[in-house]
Amino acid sequence: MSLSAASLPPVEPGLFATNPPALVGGRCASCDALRFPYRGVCPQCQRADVAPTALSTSGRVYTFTIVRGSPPGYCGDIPYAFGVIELPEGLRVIATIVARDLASIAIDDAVDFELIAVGTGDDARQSYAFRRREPA
Amino acid sequence: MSDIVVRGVGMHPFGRFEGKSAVEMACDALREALIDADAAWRDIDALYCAHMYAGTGAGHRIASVLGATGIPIVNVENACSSGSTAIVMARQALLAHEYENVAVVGLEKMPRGFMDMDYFEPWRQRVGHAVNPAQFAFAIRRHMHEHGTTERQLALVAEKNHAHSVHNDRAMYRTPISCDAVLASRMIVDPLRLLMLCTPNEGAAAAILTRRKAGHGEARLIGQGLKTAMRGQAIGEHMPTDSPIEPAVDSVTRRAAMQAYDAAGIGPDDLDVAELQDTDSGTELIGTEEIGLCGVGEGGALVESGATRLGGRIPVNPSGGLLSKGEPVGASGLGQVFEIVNQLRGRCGPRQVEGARIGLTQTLGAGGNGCVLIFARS
Repeated sequence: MSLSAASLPPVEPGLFATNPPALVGGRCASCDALRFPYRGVCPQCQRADVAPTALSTSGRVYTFTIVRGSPPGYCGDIPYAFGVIELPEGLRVIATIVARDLASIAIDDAVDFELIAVGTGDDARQSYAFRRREPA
Repeated sequence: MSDIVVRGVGMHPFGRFEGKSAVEMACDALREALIDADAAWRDIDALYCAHMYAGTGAGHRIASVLGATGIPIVNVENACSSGSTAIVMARQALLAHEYENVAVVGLEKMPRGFMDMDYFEPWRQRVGHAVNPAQFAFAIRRHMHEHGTTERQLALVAEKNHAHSVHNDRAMYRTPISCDAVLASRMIVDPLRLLMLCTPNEGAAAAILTRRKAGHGEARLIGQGLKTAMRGQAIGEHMPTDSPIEPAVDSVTRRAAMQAYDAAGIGPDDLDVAELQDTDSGTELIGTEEIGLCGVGEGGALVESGATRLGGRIPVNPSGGLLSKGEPVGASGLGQVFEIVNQLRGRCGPRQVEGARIGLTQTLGAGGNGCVLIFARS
């Protein structure tokens, strides 16, 4: 986690845990279905017995894009990357992707979870990303 | 058996019209459709009005301009599929013998640039995940990875549609654009460049539908499919927040197309012309596969072969598509219907597909909703 991200308020409560850092999904106690973000209802059996669960902190890039302009409501830097990350427990999630060089990001890249800061000053919030694992 | 006949169609050009409201444009489109149908406003039993941004009671405001006749008016919002969804609803009401003549209109007046979509929760906007064209980029990036689709093939989709638009005086952009110019335009959401993306804009289009036996040469609606994405669909205009990795499911467009083909009793080989949702080059390329014009992964080769160009085996977007017309979201589906109905009636001049008898329209919108309509000339 970057130093600046640690002390910031989360962009939305309940999306991720900070200690240790991980996304918080929901697992249905009845049918075991998994989702992110957490919701009180299961998308598979519609029962309301869903427990928050920490998701894997490593995954792979399924697809991604690099955004070159600033979309409405966005308060971070451009360009930035985000995409669909596949987690080993069988779930795909949308996440920001960080890398030393955005141009190096490719499908199937291994990525690791981290907390990031988005925005500056009063607009700054703690958010989440997966960082491209640089080849050794 | 009675048919669902498209008695008439009308279209206000798509573009930028300062000082003209969406309702005014819709009235123009409706008046043209009424004249085309040889019908009067007082003959209309119900109005379905499709839009995303036109505000409260847009259809009611249209009726107050054209003249309040006391008919039922339903405003329909289904993102980019709003217009085609309104056609589906009008058909159902006609088949239920609720009405004899129904007017369907789509209208929109949108700001420039990235669409500001309240579909997304505020935190997604804040962290930059609420980017409409990023969904298209996700889909085509994966397609390139799995099937070797090239940037040049993406550029060819735009080049083709702009070549078609030269013959369409209702399109916003009507100049040919070379493949090299598309590839030289600025990157917006990798791998999609500026000239591979349609522009949100303004416009309106309308159709008058009736239930009776179709006369010779008339266009009738013979198949329709309206679906939403299933949870297992990882990407597409689905705005996914998450999806389980297994089992794989057919995309919303593929499922809507299958439903429409089943209803029409035809298959993709029977089509003569199609108007597909080219919000971007990638969506059209993948769309040609999803509606069955070629196999999975063959969309790049299909556009390269010239098959989807005017004069080819199955011209796609002879109107110039959304890449040339722009996309006023509530109106775009009816803009496709305007084109296909006119193609089937042989009224498209230099962009006419010779002898077109069966045509298809396809829309795809936020929330992962897809609609496919099939029309035939009697």
